Amino acid sequence: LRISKNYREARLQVYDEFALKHAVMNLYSAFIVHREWGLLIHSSCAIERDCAYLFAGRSGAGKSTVARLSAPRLLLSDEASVVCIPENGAVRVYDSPFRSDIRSEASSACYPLAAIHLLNQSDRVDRMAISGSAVLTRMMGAVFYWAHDPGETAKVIRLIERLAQSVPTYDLYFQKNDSFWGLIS
Amino acid sequence: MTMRFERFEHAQSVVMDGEWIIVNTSNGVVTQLNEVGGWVWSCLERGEDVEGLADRIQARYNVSRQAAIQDLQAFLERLIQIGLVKNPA
Repeated sequence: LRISKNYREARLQVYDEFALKHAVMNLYSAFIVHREWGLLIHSSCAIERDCAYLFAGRSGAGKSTVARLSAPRLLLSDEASVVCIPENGAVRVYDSPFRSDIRSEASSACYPLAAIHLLNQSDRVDRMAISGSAVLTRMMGAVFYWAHDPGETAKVIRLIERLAQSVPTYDLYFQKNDSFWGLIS
Repeated sequence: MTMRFERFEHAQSVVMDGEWIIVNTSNGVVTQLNEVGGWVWSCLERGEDVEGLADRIQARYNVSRQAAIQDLQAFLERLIQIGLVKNPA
């Protein structure tokens, strides 16, 4: 993946379809960070009462599981959420084209982000607020971003800071059923 | 002789709920500072020298000058070790 300095041209060389998907995700992430538009976050996202709820975590954390358990709610993502983080105004989530198992319903609407949940599979159902430095360090691990330039990484930090100031973040402990929605809504 | 310590140019600082987090954006290492450390870090940005910083720590935290200088030197040496501050010229 080579991107021109002004981000007007990019060149992808890929080995297979899997590599193509990840190259395009890297390109997309780099572009929206460069413009300080927002972040691509490792998460699924479901809509409840016209608000978006993010469920973040690394592979195996339960993003797809939570997405499936959230049916019949509209899903904006099951793997990587497209989150717009403006300097002023509400943080909002768009329908993500980067899917794992669950196909997009191609919603053209965007929804305000009400909360971020960091996933923990558990034998209990609980939700605990995260604050301070823990939000930044935990969210740094959830952002889909390839650190290639200190200046661009600084933009990622600023975007996470803005996100954390606008939207509450929680640790969500969930069982493999939909009872966690009782804590959220 | 006055000693001025310079912050590493690729260090991005964030204050969240009173906690300081410094991210070295060239290697992704995150360092968390307590309130005093964060205060010293912000003073470094303004280019304050060690003598001036020790004076302010002594006044602000009601400690002896010797203790202020020792603690400050230990803190700055640690920041140099982890690459957030450059050796004074």
